[in-house]
Order: sequence, then C-alpha cells, then structure tokens
Amino acid sequence: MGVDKNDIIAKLKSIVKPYVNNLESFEQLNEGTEFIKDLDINSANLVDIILDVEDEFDIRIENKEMEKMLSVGASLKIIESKLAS
Amino acid sequence: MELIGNDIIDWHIAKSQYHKLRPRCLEKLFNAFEIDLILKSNSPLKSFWTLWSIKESTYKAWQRATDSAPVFNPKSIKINSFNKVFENIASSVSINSFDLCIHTEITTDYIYSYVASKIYCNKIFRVDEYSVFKGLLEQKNYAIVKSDTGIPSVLNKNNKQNAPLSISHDGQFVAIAFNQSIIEEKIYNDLHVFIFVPYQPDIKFSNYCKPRLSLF
Repeated sequence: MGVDKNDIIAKLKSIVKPYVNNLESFEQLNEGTEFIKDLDINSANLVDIILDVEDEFDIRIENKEMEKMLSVGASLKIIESKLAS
Repeated sequence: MELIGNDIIDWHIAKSQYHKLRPRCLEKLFNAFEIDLILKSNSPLKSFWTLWSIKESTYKAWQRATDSAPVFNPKSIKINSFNKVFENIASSVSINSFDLCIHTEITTDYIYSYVASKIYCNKIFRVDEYSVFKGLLEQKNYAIVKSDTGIPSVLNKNNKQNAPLSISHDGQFVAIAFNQSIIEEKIYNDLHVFIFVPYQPDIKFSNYCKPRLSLF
C-alpha cells in the first residue's frame, strides 16, 4: 500500500515543530526546506527529530541514511523507501 | 592550516534534558568509548553535553576546512582521548582525515568547546551583549555573513575582505571564535576593551595558548 507523500510531510511538520526557531520558514515548509539553514533548528535537536521519525513511522534509520537527513525532501525519500521495503 | 570551530551549551537548559541519555539516542551519536565515558562519569548528562560540544566544534572546523555541504554523522567524529584537569578538558578528536585538539571549559553556566589554536581567540557574550557587539560591528561597516553552506565570516564592507569567524548560540549565550590578526587595527583599537581579551599562556596545555574566557 502506497503512503501519501503529503501525509508524510504533514507528520514530519508536526515532528519538527517543537525544535523550530524560524517560524516564518516553518509556515512555508516544503520539500526544499532545510532543518538547520531554513528552520534554524539547533543541531543538537537533529537526533531528537530522527528518533521521533523512527517512532512515528515505525522504521529504523541507519547511520548512512541519517547523514543526509538535513532537509524535508531528504527525510521524505528515506521514509518512503523504508515504508516501501 | 589553523582550524576554527566552537560550540557552547547553556547548562541551565541542558541540565534538564535527561531524554538525551536514552540508549537509542546515545547509540546514534556516540561510539563505544564515548558512551563508556558518559555512563561511567559522575554526571552523565554533563558528560553527554561536553562530548557533544567537542564533536560539534570539530565538525564546524572540518566543514569549513573542506568546504563540505552539511552532513549529520556524529559517529564519524571520534574522540580518541579525553583528559580532564579540574573543569578544563583537552581531547584529541579525529574526523575523516583530520586530527584536532579540542579544549573545553565547564562552568556552572555553560560548557564551551573550541579548537585549540595559537591564533584564534574566544569570547562569550550573553545574548543582549552580543546584539550590542553586532551593532558596533555594523557601525564600523563590518557584517557577519554566511556562505551557501552556512559557514559564517566577518565581512569588511570597505575592502570586501573576509575573516573567518565561528559562532555558537545556545539559550542565553553566544560564543564567537575569531582571528584577531585578520580584523583591521582600526576596529581592534576601537573595540579593544569590548571584544578582545589577551591570550594567556596556559600551563596545563603548554603546547597551546589558551584565550581567557570572560563575560564583561
């Protein structure tokens, strides 16, 4: 069963929300949005986001994949591929 | 090549974040030796943030030196040794092909790590002091700018010269590491009392000159 992309983005949006420091960029969140550069998320919170993503989607993210999880688009790709496998 | 990188942790915020010590969290960020250091210390949470700030300052130095796009791979940063003398720590760290020495200062207010260096100074501001400092820079026609990969520097708008600068903000603190020889003498004289603190040879880490850290 395919999972709706917009559904994943909506879930991601609610996961990152508590860590966002730039609310203006957060309102405009899209696939190109970067967590640190655009949302001004503290790098110490990236691991919290990754753990929340693992719990929300019931997936396990490997180190190699985590390395790229710095934007909405990159996270979406990883989540989609995990859900499809 | 001299490297620059720093990271400050506001202990008043960090000290309550016990969820960071969950095994799943530790395993995503740290290698076995590092997890051992954290769990066997008197204050695992303080050690967590100390090791994190060591990794973060190492990462910043590496990213600038290699002009790399941002990555999130804390386990690729390996803390090889960790020597604590009172509240000062010297650690040797490697990231890809780089080996660095990181110094850390722990106070009741903050944990501050920076790449040990003979040419870079450090200054810790409270947030309101930092805005005054930025205002003064602007008055002198300097601006803090960021590259496409998010790496900050001080731009002299008069002669378009860029000086490397590392900035870290957490809670009520902003810390900067900067090279005093690169910034023009004009601003040095004008802001001497305000931003520059003298190097103090540090007997504990005799290979390096360690700048004195102080608030106004």
